[in-house]
Formats: sequence, C-alpha cells, structure tokens
Amino acid sequence: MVKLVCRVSRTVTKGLLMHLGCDVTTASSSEECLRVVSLDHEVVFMDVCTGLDGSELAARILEKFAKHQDRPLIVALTGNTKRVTKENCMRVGMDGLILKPVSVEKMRGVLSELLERRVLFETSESESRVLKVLNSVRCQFDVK
Amino acid sequence: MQNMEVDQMQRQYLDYIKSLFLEGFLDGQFLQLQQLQDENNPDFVVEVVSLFFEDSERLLNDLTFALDQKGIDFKKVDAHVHQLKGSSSSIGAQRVKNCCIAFRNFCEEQNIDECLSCLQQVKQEYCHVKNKLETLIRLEQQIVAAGGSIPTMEFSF
Repeated sequence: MVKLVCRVSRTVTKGLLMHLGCDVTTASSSEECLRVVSLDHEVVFMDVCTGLDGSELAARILEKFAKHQDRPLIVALTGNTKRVTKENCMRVGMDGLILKPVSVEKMRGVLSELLERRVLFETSESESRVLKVLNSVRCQFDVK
Repeated sequence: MQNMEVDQMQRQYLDYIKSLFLEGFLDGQFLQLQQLQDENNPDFVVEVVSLFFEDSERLLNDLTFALDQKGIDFKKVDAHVHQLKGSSSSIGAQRVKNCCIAFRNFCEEQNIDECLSCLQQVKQEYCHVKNKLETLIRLEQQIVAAGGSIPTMEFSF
C-alpha cells in the first residue's frame, strides 16, 4: 500500500512497485489508508516529513492489527535526512524509513531486505560519514 | 528511406534529451520514470508528466492567491511549495525543485519580497520545463509513429 498525499509522487511510487511485480493499493490520505489497509498488504509506504506527522497513522495501523498475529510493515518514505526524523519514526513504532529519491534498483533491494528482516532504517550519507568517524575513533581507543 | 528518417529522429531525440540534462532542466529521476515504462504501462511517462502539469498549475495558482493576501499565511504558502517540490522532484524537474528549496527557506524567514521573487522564478522555470517536456514527448510520438522505438539514454554525467 502506498499512502502519499502528492499525486505525482503516488503515481511514480505505484509505478515503481508495479514494475517490480507488486500489487499496489494507493491512498491519498491517512483516513483512506486506514480504511483500506488489510492483512493483504505486506508493506504500507507512507510519506513523512518529520516523523511525527506519520505517528498518528502508524499508531492507528498498529492498533487496527493489534489482535492479529501478523500486520503490514509500516515504512516511511521521506526526503528528510535529519537523524531526528529517523528517531521519531522508530519511536512511533514504524518498521522502516527510506530516503527519497528511490530508484528501481534501490526499491528492489529495500523490498528484499524488508521482507526478510522485517526492519530497515536507512542511514543518510551524512549520518554514515559521522558513524564512520565515530567508529574509527572508537577503534583507536580500543587499540590503546 | 524510412529507416534513415527514424535514425535521424532518434538522434535528434537523444541530442535533445541530453541537452535537457546538461542544462539542468532534468535530473536522473526522469530516467527512472522512463525505466518504469513498459508493455504493461506503455504511457507511464506521459501520464506522470500530465499529472505534474495539472498539479503544478493548480499549485502555482494557489501560491499566487496565497501571496496576494493582506495577511500572508506562510504556513499555507510553505505547504503549497512543499507539494510542488515533491512533485517536481518525483519527475526529475530539477530546476523547479531547486527553486522550491530556496522558496521554502524564504517562507521560513517570512520574507515577503523574496517569496514573491521566488514565485516568479518558479513560474518561469515551470514554463521552461513544460515546453521542454512537451517537445520531448512530441519527438517520442513522432518516432513511434514512424515505426521506431524510443532510444534510451545512458546517464553518465
């Protein structure tokens, strides 16, 4: 399921997923998404700006499937690379975050990893660089 | 004779689309759209581009109206620009997207003059990319009508 307010983004994301062989349902609003989402959907992709803006929908989806053994994975699609966005998404119980733009190859990898590991929080480039520096500093201290 | 015509049209198409990338009108996201066009979705690019035109024109009208008010609601203005940024980014309309990024910064600062300037700029860039995309689609349709296939461009720059 793809819940994106922007019609162009929604059509492109739908096209991308269909190209990869997925059956896709789309929704243009949180209300529509919540009404339509079912156990037939393995993943719900939703647009998110800060992470907090997706929190209510994520919470209501989790509530809808609380009594079931299974539920759709909830994944944020965002162009916001700030660490706090990822943290907000994790805090509200989402299963993943993917940074836009999403190419065909990237989405193929994302789907594969998501369906296998049931979680995927993508790191932005700047965050990767910071983590690499921190790891390198940590290693230096360990060696000492 | 027909093959030579199709070859010429295909070369013209490739030169034209390459120029759009070199001049920054389009970015790699547009090539992603073309990748999604297949036998199951043969009109995908035209469909998405048409949606982009419709949505952009509506948003630009909404922005003009919003910035014409006595008490400007910058949150509303920002919301419209955010949508336009999203849709232009989704089809690879790079210059429009970049205008929107600057526009959002000025919305945050609540700088009326700069916002008005950004609005003019984004309207201009939208007009440019609309003309370019319409020409590109026309070239594609001419190739197909002549019995040829649309050549794919390697994005290596």
